Amino acid sequence: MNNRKIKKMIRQEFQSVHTPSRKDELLQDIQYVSQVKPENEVHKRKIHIHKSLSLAVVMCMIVIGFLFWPSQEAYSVAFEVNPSIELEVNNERRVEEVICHNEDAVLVLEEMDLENTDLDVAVNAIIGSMFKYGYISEAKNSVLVSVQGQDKEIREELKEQVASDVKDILSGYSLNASVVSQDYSFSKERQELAKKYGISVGKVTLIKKLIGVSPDYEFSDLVDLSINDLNTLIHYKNIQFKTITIDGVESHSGYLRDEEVRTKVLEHAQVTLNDLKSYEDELDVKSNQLVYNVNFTDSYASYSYQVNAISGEIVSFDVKM
Amino acid sequence: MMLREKKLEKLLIQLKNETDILGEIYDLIRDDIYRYIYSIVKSKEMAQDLTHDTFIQIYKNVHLYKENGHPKAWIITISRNITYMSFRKHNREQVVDYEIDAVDEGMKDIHDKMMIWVLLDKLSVEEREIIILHVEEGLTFKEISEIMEMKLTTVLNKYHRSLKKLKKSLEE
Repeated sequence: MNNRKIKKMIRQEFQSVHTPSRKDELLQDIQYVSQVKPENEVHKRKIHIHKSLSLAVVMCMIVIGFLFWPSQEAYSVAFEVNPSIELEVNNERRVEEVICHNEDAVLVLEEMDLENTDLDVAVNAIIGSMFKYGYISEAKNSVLVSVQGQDKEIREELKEQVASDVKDILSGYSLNASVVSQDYSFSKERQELAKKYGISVGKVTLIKKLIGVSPDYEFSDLVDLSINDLNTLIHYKNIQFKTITIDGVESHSGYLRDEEVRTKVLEHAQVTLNDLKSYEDELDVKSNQLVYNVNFTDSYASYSYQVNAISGEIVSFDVKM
Repeated sequence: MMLREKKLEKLLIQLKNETDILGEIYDLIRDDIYRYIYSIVKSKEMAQDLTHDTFIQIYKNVHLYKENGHPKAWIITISRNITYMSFRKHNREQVVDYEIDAVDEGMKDIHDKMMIWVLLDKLSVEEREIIILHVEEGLTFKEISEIMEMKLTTVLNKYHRSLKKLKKSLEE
């Protein structure tokens, strides 16, 4: 029985459970209940809840800290597209635990039980499912593979093997993927950032490395960008990393082409191609979106535009006469 | 927002000024609240009483409800607080043992005999809550993580594991 059937069964059986109405009793009871609570009672309760919450948070942090503290032998292999899935792998390269980092990951993994399977079998199943559900496609062909563990040699070997497997699996679906792969050891700072922003440690690491070479960006500027967006930005800015391997070219079919951007801004400014004195555009990031910064001049004015690279929406513009 | 949720939100806003509206809200969602509470307490009588108490609390606290498109999540939070508060009142230890130590032992509820309850018994109370809140009550994982004061990833992983457990039990 698959998960869909289990959920259907739960719904059906639950729908047949009813409770007799005690509406009259309820409506009678509320005659003796005041609707608005006194100020001081509300205040007291808030303090009480606050204390309980703090205690619960501290307890949770201790438990989670203990659970996620890396053991010497375990390695984690994480896949990020938009679904974000992490596999805890033992020395024999068998999956010990599967961790979903977002709702899309639950959908991708719904029908699978990957624990105790070989890593290559699990990779095949995950990537195949991401493709089947349309998370990886011609327009979104970037996959981030991240390996975390203590031994650098093992990490690198794992990274190369998994990245190559991902590339091959997607080739089997006639898709030319761009696989971004990296490896690293445990970092408390990155772990905390991942927790704070609700993203994987792999994505945190990629963004941190990107900021390292492009210090103009803030971490929060890039956190919501997809892996394909980040990959596009890395490519566009011609950034080379020592510790990140990029195999294959990311898809640009989801983004506006330079000519489309030019047509859009010239139409908006009512300037013809023949009137242009100068024109330049550059891909950049604004409020977690890829935008084109466009500057051009004609005989009368200089124009500055920001255009959303995916939707084509004009985010802002300025004209100086 | 679903039509039913919209209606519920509208009624909650009205309840701030019109007492009688509580009856309409009761008719609309009493079974939902009862099923959720029953899945935790596993006692028909106790679930009925706590459902009743939930509606009293909805009435008392409706002035605190802010129109935000999540009326059901707000009500579930109230019923959850009441249920666990009631547990604590009886015996702190009972919270853990409740699923084994059925309250109406000897007069086993008819619901218990349903296959689904036998299956859900294989799950911990938290896992059961997550499954019911998502599958039956239609709450998003984010809403559930807020109600249960858990990290979103914890909820997602517990949900995923629970489905696996249920599947395994069905195959046995």
